Amino acid sequence: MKKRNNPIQKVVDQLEETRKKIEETTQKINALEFDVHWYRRVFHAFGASFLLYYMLPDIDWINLLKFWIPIVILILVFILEYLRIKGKLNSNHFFGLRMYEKKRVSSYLFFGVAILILLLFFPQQIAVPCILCACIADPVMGEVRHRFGEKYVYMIGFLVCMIFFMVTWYKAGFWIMFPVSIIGAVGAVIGETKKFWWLDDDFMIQMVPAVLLYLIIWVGTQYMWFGLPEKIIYSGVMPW
Amino acid sequence: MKNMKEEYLKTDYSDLKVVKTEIMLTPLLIVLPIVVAVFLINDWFNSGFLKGNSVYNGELLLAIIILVGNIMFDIPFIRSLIKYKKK
Repeated sequence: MKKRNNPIQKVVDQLEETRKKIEETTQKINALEFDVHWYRRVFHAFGASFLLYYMLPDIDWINLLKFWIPIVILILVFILEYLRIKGKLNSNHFFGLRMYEKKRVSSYLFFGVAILILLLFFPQQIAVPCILCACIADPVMGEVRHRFGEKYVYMIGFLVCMIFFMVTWYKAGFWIMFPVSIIGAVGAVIGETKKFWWLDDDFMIQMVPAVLLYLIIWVGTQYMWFGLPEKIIYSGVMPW
Repeated sequence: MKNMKEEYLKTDYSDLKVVKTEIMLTPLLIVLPIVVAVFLINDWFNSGFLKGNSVYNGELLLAIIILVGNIMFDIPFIRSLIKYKKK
């Protein structure tokens, strides 16, 4: 009886071994995808460093560099993206790309373009909260979506974005800060949820609230009694 | 869109070259936002706090947002990198 069971036992052992190997490999793959996931989150949060732009001293030659360096960096990134999409550069070198970004412009380029537009063409009071929405609120919303599902994404995203607008506009006084924060946060959440194949949410989350606030401020200064509050970051912050 | 969003480009992760860019960029990704926050805190402290000028309080709030926002994601990222290096 024991002899007859031996080949069966062997097969069972082999199956068990294979199962363990599959489990180990799956764990490894999951750990690596987890790594990509956190890499993208950290990359987003890193974008807040671009606020350094406002800290640089207000000197002619620095202002010239402030204008040209971001443009040159973006042109280089455009070239890299062009080469990647054309297949002349392997996508493997671009860590953390999503499946749908293989044949499309990557979201980091949209992210960079939006930050550049905000830094160069929008006042600091509008640019700062919009950049923070993309850099911090967007990964927070992504994490909430990842862990708790769609249910809480909009509510938490709205609150986080609202805090950023309130902090940037607190000098304007409550009756301007509060509605502006609500409008900005709504714009950011709409920007995050509306995504198109050709236009990424990393662009929209920054540009939708920025354009909305720009229009409000334009109307406010032309036809009403309010305008931009005092800026929040003063140039020359750097210790040297 | 949601499912697509969660899927990353499949690459040969056993090849260290693939994660080389990630490892190379890690110090910059982690240190620069902290440096920016420290600059803001430094300015708030010297120009605002020591001189009793509340105009600079916004810089402190921004620094806190940048610091918390970054550290929140840095810790799990560094943990996952350490796990990867051990493998």
